[in-house]
Amino acid sequence: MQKLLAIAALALLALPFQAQAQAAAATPRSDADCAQLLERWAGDPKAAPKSEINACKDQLAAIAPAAGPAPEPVAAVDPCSGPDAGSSVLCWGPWAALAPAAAAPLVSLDFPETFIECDSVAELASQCVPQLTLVPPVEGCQPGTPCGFATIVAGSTSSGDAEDTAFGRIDLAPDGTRFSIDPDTGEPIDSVPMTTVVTPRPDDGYGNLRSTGREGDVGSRLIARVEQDDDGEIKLAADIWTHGTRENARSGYFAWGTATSQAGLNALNAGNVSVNFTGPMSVNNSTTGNMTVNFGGNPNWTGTWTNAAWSFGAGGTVSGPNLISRPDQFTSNVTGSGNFVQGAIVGEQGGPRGLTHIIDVTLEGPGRIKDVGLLRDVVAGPVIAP
Amino acid sequence: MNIRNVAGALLLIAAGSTAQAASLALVPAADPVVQNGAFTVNLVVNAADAPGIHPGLQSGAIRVDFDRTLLTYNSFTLASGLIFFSPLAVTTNGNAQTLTLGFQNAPDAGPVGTFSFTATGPVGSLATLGLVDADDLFGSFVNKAVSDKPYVPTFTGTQVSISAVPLPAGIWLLGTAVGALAARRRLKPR
Repeated sequence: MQKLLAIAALALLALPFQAQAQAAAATPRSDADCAQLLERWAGDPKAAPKSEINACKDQLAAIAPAAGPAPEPVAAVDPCSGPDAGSSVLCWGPWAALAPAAAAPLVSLDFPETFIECDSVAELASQCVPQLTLVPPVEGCQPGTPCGFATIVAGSTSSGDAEDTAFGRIDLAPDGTRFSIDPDTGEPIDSVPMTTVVTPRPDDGYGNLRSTGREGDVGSRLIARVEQDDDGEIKLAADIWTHGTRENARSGYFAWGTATSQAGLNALNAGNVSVNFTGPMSVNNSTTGNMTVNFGGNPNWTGTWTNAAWSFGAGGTVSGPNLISRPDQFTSNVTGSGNFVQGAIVGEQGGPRGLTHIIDVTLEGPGRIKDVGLLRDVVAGPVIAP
Repeated sequence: MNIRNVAGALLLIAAGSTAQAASLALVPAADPVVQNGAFTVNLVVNAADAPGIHPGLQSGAIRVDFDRTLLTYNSFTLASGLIFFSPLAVTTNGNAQTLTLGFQNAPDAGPVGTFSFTATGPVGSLATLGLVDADDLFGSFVNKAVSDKPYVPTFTGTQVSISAVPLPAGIWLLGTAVGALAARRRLKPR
């Protein structure tokens, strides 16, 4: 009887606590409390009853999508947009140079200077799209502005070894009375004022320009093929420039025009047209260049350079009026590193139009070749209906 | 152009065909030349070895110097198919006279044109015709076939001696006959 009484007393005493416990279980915990409880439970499985733990799990699972931290916008998680972009695997493109293996020489890939740009192509993009942007070795051209390239050698012969030949940008007065050259390295070259004469050329529709000037011991000259408009303004020009004194002259070859305007480029891209350009190179004029520019949403180009001794091919991208080769699009006989073809589309539809460009390639056999050339568009003949 | 001109030009071309460098030369049609008589001098190019594509289109500017007390310049005729990019100009400095001209579209080898002079100097004098590139700083010669390729040719002038006016053969015969008659008359017995 005493035992029964003792059990009844204990049951009575326990009732409030049991009710309290049930109340506690029934009372929803705050999300923060649940999180704390789960955290403690993770370290100590006996920290709370399993029912409480399960309740908290259910509670947090139910509220997580709504109450969790808002997802960051795509741009904010773009792994290529931050300062650590270079460390992100999503942003790694081709290396400019391979890390040297143990005791091995540093091997350079065929890339000129490049940088990787990671675009988020759309707001919904879940990850960036690595994009290879090729940096032109020589400053590119702006639409609608004068645009030319030149080789530069010491002396007045215009030619030299490829290793001793530099590249630069050339600008030319539309009347041919002045020119200036901005070399990759070294001092800029500004011609003295020159007098010009243009005479007919028998073979190819070009005119022959001769411009010469002298100020004391310093002289300048241009000997060039030119194409002029009806007002006599030079629209395309190519071949020889020389400047300096008898003892200290510089010279070279050049190709010059006015880069196609943005409106002209837009029209070409909208038309998805392909334009073929052809002509002789200037340094080695037995070499014929043929290039095809495919306009459109993703404009690109291909080209070949051929003479009796060698030939090679290349291809690349088009950005505005500028063309630059892609290292993976050279033919296999182009070896070594640093090979490039760079150019610009000059002139407008309906007028004199061409492609000014420079090449710097090393070929198996012939070795290194540097050249500059003005190619003109190949006007397709009339389509004859069958 | 007379046969002598052509022969001279061809000789020069033949001689130049074995040369390693392009050349420009003045080739007189005759030497000696007769005092107060007109004579011609060919300007001949040989650029078969010049850089660039061949057949070429040779172009350049030249300067011809001479003593105007010995020679008088008359004219210059450009060879067929060639054009001036710089027409002939005559300048005088004391006794020195200079002819300057620029031409283009010349073939790899052959005459560029023909100068005509009159020999006005004294009998026995030697008249020199100097030939140089008109651009003494960088040179002016290019092969324009396909595109422009510069080169520096060698330049060869010429000299002509001035001789007395030759008497016609009939004069000599007449003189001989007259002399013979006179001698016979003197020696004839009376």
